[in-house]
Amino acid sequence: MNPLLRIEDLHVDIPGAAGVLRALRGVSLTVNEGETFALVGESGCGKSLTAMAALGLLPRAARMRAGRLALDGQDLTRFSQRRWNALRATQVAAIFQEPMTALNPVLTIGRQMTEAYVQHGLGSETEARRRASELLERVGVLPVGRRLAQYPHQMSGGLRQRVMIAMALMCRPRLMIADEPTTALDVTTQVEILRLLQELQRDTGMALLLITHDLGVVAHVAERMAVMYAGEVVETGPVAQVVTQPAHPYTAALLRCLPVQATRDRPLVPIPGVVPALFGPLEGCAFRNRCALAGEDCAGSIPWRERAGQGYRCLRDEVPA
Amino acid sequence: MSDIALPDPRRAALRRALRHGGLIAGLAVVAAVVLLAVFAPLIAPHDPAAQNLTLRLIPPAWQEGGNPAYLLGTDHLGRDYLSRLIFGARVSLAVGLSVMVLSGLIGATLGFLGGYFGGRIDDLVMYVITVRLSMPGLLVALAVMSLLGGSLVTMITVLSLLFWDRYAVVTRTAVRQLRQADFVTAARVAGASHRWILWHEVRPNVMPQILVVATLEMAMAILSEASLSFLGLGIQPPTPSWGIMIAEARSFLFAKPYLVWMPGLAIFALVLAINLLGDGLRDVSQPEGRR
Amino acid sequence: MLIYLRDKLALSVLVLLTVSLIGFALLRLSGDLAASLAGENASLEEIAALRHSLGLDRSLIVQYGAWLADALRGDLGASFFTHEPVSRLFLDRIGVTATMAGLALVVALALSLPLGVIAALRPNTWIDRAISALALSGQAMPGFWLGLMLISFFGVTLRWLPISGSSTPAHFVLPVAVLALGAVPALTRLMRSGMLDVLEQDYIRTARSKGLPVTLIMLRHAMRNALLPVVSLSAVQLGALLGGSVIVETVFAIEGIGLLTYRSIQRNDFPVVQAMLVFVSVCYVALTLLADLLNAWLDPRLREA
Repeated sequence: MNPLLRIEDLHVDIPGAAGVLRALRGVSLTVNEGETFALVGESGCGKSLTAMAALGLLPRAARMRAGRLALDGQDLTRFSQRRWNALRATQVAAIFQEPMTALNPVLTIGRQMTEAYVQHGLGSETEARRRASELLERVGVLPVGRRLAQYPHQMSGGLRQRVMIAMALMCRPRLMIADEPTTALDVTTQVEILRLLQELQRDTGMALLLITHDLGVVAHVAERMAVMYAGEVVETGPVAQVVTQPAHPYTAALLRCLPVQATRDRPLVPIPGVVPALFGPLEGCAFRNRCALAGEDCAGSIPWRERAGQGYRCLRDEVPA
Repeated sequence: MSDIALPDPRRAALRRALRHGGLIAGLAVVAAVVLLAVFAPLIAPHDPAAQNLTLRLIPPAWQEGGNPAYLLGTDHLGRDYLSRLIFGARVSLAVGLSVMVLSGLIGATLGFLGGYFGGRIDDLVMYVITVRLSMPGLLVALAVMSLLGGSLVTMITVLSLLFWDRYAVVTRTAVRQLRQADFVTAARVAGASHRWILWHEVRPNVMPQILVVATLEMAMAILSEASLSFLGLGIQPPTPSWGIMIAEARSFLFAKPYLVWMPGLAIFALVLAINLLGDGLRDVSQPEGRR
Repeated sequence: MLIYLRDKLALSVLVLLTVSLIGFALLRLSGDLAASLAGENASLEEIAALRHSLGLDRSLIVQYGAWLADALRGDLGASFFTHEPVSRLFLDRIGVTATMAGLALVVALALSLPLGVIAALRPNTWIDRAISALALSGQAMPGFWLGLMLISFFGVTLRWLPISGSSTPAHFVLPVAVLALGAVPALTRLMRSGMLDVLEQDYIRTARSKGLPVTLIMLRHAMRNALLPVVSLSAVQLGALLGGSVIVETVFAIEGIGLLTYRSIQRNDFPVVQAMLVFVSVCYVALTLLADLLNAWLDPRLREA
């Protein structure tokens, strides 16, 4: 399997009124061609920021440095604005959490779907319309002709997210970033959208980087995953392995929070404590103030360890499930 | 690691205020003008009304033919220009402050009623606001002043009855948003009366926005007074008002342009300072961002 | 939208009736017009005759009704002073005033839209602060004073431009500049804050994620949304420009409806003043309606409200 997106030692600082926020602190991950990779964590852990870095869409104030940020061998850290624009939509496309606000309210669906296709020189307006029609049909936004002339507010949230997906597919990207694509939708719609994404990923052979806080979603869709906590990747590996034998106490704790896992004998367990503030340098394990296994040694530096295809950042060898 | 000491919001606001250059500059100028106005009889070198036809149109002291006793020269009736400027501040401030308070009472009351109670009362308030907005304020003021005759009291009354619209609009919007706020609902559930809620829960939360509007209205009132007086239908001579001074100096615009630009500059400086103050207050009360 | 328009129209009619009533009451209740018109030497009989001929001896409600009925037929009465029909006085002068106000709005928008956008694109930088400072200064400048200063500088010192009257296009430069500069600060600030709001919206991020060039994002995705409040304010400003024409026309001696109203106020020629009051209100109401329609065209969501 060929690596498509490679991120190594990615740091992002965001200066603000309260000080410099160290939002990402050495994130590394690799998304292979044609796979579905899940990036999991609580809100604020930096998972969306990581994805935005891969799109070149960090906040204006953010400062980024990376050992490597590469898509298919192209070094993105040196990209000019022009090259970023050429890359977006054609190689990396994105869909976002809020289908209600992610589409421009004053432009028709047709206009919003076709503009990037035409802009990137992939074809004429007519060809763009034809492709938009095909894709809307594929994602089930019917009847296509009427939908193209409609405005976002005339559709339900589920339909809008389908439009977003179709729009992201317009320029045949090799990687689609889906940032919490189902969080704002109701449960039945969530399942439909996930199934649709899975099918499209299989049909087109594109890679899918799925960002979510929902481990349940991950288990159904993704092949590999990474778990983020406080601006770091704490564990990564094949989903089946990570979910059944978590190597990091945080992953284990997340799994214990899943309602589907809870039974009479294994009750739902919330994680005690709060995420540390990310101002200034953070020594040792960021999770130690909430971890049952933490000891004195956790305040020192924690090496990245590997075991049977799983990578994790923890000193403990045995993590109770 | 997790417990960050949260600063006292009032202290934080004060600290932001002290670091806000515009706010400090505006405050300094306004304070200086207030002092000048209050102590005008002590500060002004001459009686602002004393005419001396032998000393007509003396240029400012730094120009040729200037007289150090008349620092900014004299006008066409030989009155000391500096003294007239200093006394002119009294009219501007009196009008500005009175109109700010009175129109604020009218506008904020309407805004509170419409925003808090909604429904029919709000319809009525909106109707009154629309009627007011559709009337050309300056024209109505001119007409009424011409009928009633210009005096400080009529000026203040007329402007206060006309320029409450922004208060009403801003207060109404703010109160409408607050009405749905959880703490208001909580107070209602706890059995608090409307009057108590309006005063103890809603008013403190709307005050910062009203304060910002207040500075805008004060600036507006000062400009309006100057315009009306300039047109001869405001404060009547010989009371020194900056607007009147410009009107009187108008016939000397070509020969003695400084007679026009000096009072204009006074208006400009005072209004700019008030606007800076308002902008500063807004920045300090809404730290999230400059809008 | 249709229901909204219907309600809005109903409100407009109500508002106009109220304004005309206020204007009527204000000027009729202000004193004995017949006495002041007849002059100081008139006998009581002469005053009474004048009062009767003007219809001032009827009850106020009847007088208002008569005025309203005439006004709806386009008859706004005759000037007490020149005895010409008010509508004729207006029609002769409205062109100059409307031209000035219209030009001023165009100039103001041409300045404030780019300034607001530039400030919003570079928030809290020196250029943003410079634009804010300009807006603040503009807001603090009394229009009549600015007019006089421009006359003294461009008309007298440099001798570039004519300083009074309205006979050539050059005559309009200074008055339009004064009017436009009066409208620029508020429009610039609104455009800036509108753009700042819009640029934070998710759909701008979507547009950027599609690799669209910045200019296209600005023009197609951001401007249109940010313009909505600006359109509403422009309507209000145009109404204010008509009302503000009094000052500019006085300073530059331009024979428009502003100067006409000013003179009429001075000589208690109340049919003219009342007509002006109602005229500006009609303009305001019509312009806000126009702004609503324009906004509905810009924003499809408003069409269904």
